[in-house]
Amino acid sequence: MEGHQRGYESFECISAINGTDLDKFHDLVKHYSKQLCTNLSNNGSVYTMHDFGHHCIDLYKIVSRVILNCNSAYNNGNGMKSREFYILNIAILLHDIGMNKVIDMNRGKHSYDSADFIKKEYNICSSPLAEEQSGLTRNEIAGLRRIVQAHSDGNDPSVPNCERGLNNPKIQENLNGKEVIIREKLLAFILRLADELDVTSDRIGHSSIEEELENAEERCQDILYKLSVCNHDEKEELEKQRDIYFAAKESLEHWKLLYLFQEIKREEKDGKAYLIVDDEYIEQRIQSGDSIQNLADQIERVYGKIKKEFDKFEEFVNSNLIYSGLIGLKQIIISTGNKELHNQIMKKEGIIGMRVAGGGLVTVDLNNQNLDGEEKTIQEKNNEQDNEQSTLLKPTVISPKCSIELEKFIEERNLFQVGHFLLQDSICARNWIDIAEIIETEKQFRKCIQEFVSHIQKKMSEVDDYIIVGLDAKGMLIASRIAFILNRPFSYVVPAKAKKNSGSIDNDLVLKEEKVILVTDAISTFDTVNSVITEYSISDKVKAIYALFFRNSVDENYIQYHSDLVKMTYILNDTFDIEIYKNNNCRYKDTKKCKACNKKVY
Amino acid sequence: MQGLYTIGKERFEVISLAYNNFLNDLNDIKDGGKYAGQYSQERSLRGKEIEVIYDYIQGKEDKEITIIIDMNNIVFYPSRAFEKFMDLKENRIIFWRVADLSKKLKNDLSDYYLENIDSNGNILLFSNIFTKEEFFREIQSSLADIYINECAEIVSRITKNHDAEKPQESSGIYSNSYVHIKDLFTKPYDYNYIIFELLSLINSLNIQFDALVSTSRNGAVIANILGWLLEKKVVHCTSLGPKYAIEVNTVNKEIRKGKKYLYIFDFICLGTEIKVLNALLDIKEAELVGGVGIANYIDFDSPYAKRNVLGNMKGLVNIMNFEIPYFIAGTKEDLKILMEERANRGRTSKGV
Repeated sequence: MEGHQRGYESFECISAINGTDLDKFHDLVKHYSKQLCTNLSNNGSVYTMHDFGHHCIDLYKIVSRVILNCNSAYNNGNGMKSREFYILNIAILLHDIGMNKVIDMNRGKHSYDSADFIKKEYNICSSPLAEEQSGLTRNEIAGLRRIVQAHSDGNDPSVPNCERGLNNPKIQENLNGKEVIIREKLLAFILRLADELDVTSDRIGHSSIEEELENAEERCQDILYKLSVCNHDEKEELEKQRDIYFAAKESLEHWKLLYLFQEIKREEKDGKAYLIVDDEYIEQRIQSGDSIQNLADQIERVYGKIKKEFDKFEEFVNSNLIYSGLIGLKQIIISTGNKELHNQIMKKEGIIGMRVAGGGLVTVDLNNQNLDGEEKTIQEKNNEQDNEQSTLLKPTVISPKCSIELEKFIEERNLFQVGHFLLQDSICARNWIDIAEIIETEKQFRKCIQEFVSHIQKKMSEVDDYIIVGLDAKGMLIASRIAFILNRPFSYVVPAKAKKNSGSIDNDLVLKEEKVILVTDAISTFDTVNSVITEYSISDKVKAIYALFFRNSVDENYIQYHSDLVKMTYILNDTFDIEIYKNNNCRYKDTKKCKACNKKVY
Repeated sequence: MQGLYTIGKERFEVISLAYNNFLNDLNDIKDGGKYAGQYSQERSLRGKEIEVIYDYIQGKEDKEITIIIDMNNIVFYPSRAFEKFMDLKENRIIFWRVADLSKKLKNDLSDYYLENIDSNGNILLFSNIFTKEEFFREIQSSLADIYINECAEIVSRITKNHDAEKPQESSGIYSNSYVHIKDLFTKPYDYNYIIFELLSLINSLNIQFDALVSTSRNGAVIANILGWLLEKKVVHCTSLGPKYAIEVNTVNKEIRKGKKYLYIFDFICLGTEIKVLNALLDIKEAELVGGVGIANYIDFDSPYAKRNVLGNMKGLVNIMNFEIPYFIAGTKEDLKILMEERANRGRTSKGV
């Protein structure tokens, strides 16, 4: 194995490939890594490294240790499949092959060139990418090409803006791979974010390129002088050279951005990735006359680009509970030990996370305001951001102690039951918690209520105009107790299935208050909560949702995830997963209608 | 501390120390205080609560309004806490239902200024400018039903017009009004008071029971709060009534043989749900020992009611006894006749 390829095998995303696919992948690396460019100057422009030894290895590292959740992504049951890793890793290997001079080296369309290259290679029988060698099916190759193509928007005028990159309508959510479903769109998003995150000095290649660039300015001055004194015949050639050196000068600025960050590193416990500023380099730049303001601007420029991609990525993965479970990266925070730089960056809008190295986390969100429209204190923002981070995947558990107590209570009383339960018209559940028993056991219920009351008091401490609304029968009872203690107005929503047995006056929900807190007993799909919000048009009013339980579905296909609602949901326990079945697949149904009628089946 | 809840009339204003003390207990719970067992009919005042009343009276601009301080069910207050009231002699203050605290109050405020105005020493007058004759002339007659009238006013505020052309969905009868209990929940000021009065009513019944039982959604909300405050189990049998059938299975395991149940209702029109509930409890060999609720149309004291389980029920407000415009009839034609009669007579009329 050649030196520049060494070490990539140790990354988790590589070792997750099973059996012969792994051997095939090694063959592909061996063959194509040599074809990736190491020297990327073209007409004066010098691009950052797109080679295997720097860029591809960086991406394998970023995917394995920054983006994916180590605990869930490599899980045999619900994690990513070996085949998905195989395809993702090939995409990483070949995504920039279009930057090869031999091919085209047109940055504006290199993602299309890479995809075309893959197609051509697949059709050459002797190529390691051909079906016989790589084992990839035609379907998989098509998916691979779309993944590679999506890693950059490019500027091909033949492709409408709205269909570039990840917006390509041909990208499939799920692709039929060889014996497994490949989550094509998820892989495309992962590659794109990983590529964007490769902004540290790890990517800097050999110094000769940089030296070449640094000489460019001097040469440029020389050419400009020659242009001023040249005759007509020489002019055209000199202008060409001037443009090359101008491009080189511009490239140097891009190149130097790579020096700003020495590393990107993610904390496993909270999903925060720290983009660590190279403080020594910053010091050097300051000593050579650069201003803090300029350096902060450059950092903002890099961060802004990453943030834009990360926001899209986050929105996509949060739209699916399973996807969000696979992703470990929750926030990207700039970390620097230089207080002056830190303060300068803090002034910038859009920088959502800053850490003073060695100190506590200081977070900033300049656009964030509290419910009264007043600006929050740094501490409030800090707390909220911490809370927000923990709610990205699931609702926030407001009291770990109460969560453990509830879990114990349920186990001791045998309240986690199996059978058949019609959750919604289209969905059945195979297990449920006997929440009535919790509500009727005063000692346990009291503890739950106290947790809700304390949390709401803190959350709404400066808000007067709010009402507490209970959903469904048990949510109604929980909400009524909370409202009574807090001395707040209370109302309830009659469950859709019970409306026919209830007077229309009680079925109505009339809200005079501007803010609403919803309370229910358990949430699994968020569909009930969402339908209530839609039915009564209260999406602007709902400020928080409280539930005893969040029940995570173990099956990805039956959930329409409502990430906006998840973020404002506070629960006491999330340890009891729910097994959901589509009603039309339900074995307890007759030919037309599910037999379930909310009764236990023993 | 909660603010002060007072009941104001034209010539006087009543401060129920027990109710305000109850509100302050709830406030303590909000701040993480003890939960269950908070409700006790016998109540002890905090010194701060007396200070709040002092400040309130001192701040009143209209000194002609008589302040009635109701000490019913107060069994303790910190020694000398009322001494400060010596500054308020130029106000018109009555200590009402002082019971055993009479002697203690006299120690605080001196015999000279505190005058017994009834034979039992249960009403004490404290004022330089007010006489017991004035009290008997202007206030006494209105004081007797002050709390029940307050409940009636609350019920009146939540009584809404009902489409007389359509039968009520729960009972199938026609009515011109609807007691909108769900609306009460959105008014904590009124709702808290109703809860307190229901607790007092339950205590006044002086009956033993094992659990509370409710048959409607609104009844369940109220029973849930009462059960918590009284430390009693609550069984919710929702949608039990003349029109809707209960899913007996859901209640089967909750209703226990030999146990005594107290029914909690929001509003009772004809009382059919009580009869259905009673039958259900009978089947389970349990007993319905009584019931309390916010309001009722049927007269629980009527000979008809006394002949069956309805006679064991008590409502805070029998809407037929107050100027609440509520009429029911079996048909919409009969309802129209009733309403026309009412319009002609210009006063409250009973339904048929």
